[in-house]
Amino acid sequence: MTTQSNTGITTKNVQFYYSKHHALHDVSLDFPSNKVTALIGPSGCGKSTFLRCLNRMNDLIPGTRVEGSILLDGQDIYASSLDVVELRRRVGMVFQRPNPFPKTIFENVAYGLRVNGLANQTEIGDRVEAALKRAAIWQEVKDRLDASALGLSGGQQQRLCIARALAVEPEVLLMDEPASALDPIATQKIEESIHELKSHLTIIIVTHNMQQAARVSDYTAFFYMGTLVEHGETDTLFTRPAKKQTEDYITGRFG
Amino acid sequence: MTAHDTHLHTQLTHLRTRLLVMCAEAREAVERACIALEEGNTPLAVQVIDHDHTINALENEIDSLALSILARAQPVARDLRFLVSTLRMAVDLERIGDEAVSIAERALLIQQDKDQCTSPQLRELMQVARRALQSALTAFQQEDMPLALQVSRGSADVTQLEVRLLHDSLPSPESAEPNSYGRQLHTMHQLLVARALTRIYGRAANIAEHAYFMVEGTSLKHKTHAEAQGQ
Repeated sequence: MTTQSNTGITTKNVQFYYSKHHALHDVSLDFPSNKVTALIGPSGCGKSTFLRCLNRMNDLIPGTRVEGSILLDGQDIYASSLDVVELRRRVGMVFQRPNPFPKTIFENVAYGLRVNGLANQTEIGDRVEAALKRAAIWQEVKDRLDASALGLSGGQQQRLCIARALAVEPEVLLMDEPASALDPIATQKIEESIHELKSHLTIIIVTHNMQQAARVSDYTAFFYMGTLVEHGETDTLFTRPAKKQTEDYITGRFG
Repeated sequence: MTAHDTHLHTQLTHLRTRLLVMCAEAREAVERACIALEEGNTPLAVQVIDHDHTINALENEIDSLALSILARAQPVARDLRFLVSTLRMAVDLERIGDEAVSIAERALLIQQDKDQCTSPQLRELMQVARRALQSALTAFQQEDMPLALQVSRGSADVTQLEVRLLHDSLPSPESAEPNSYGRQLHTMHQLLVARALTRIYGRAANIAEHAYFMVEGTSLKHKTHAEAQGQ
């Protein structure tokens, strides 16, 4: 079982380009360890682009370019010597729509462990169980681990994907609108998981749901047109934001 | 960014309008009660007592509207602060209405003894309380924060006035004036009116604090003047 993470992420003057389109402007932000930070802002503001910079997922898009620095536990994640596969183990990701493999529930979670070279069946079994428990889905699937993951409900599939990300014991978990396709009960379960998980992980979540950001996060960052407008404690940002732009957005006065 | 009104903002505007109506009703009740007392106007005193149910009904209406908005729209930031302030203000305004009724009831009782007149201290207290209420409501309506701070910090003057009135109402041992039952009764009525006016002043100070919280997002409650300035 992973103990408390001390890993935080620091970004300094991050610029991001999709070819000639300048999508992120000079974003400097600290993500403290064992805290949940929510990234909010209107569509196209750059929050998901920024999230994907944090584990180099944008590398997969041709013509993109990053400037500035992103430090994971003090180490530059864009350094040429860095192992990107290892980076993505340390910085896991959960996407908007659940994307389980067409395999059994057990194999979905065990997959990352095997890819990372673990062969001991007992250890794999233990770690799969631990990951499913931490993702709050163990009670629902423990008697059907050999069933296809595709037979699970949307909410269960998403928690399975969280378990899959947790199995390789990441230090940071990126969540890109993880509950936007789920019903309120499934959403509540995901949010409860986030509260539990932050004792072990640093979590960064992109959400369009302002109430969700207010419910789950310790810190909130508001983006607008590729710029970080305001960042601070969620309690403060949702009760007395410093910037008028933030106030207008969170109270629905523009859009 | 372009501003636009949403259903939530329409609801908030409606709530604000109802709160302003309640402010006007409470202020009017206090004005009428004071005039009834000063001028011995019995019909006006009866009118204040009979009209109190309107203020009570407004409190219920505002409670219901605010709760509905909280439950259905989950407002944040300034909208949330407005709702919290509104719920608190409605309580203070309803109590101000009750104090106006209390003054009106005393006005009717004092009327029965026409030989006794209202003391100058009580008239002064009346002016101070009415002015404070008017200022607090203006501070809320116009978001005038210096005025809100001024109202929330002036309670010492009112306490002094009340103490002076109490002192002057007590018969001195050297006084040759007979301490009749009628005079004692009149003194008691005046003291009860003074109490009601002091409470109105206290509620006005609360309203000023709610207005400050709504605009600035910080609380003035249980803070000294220096603490409030430094926060």
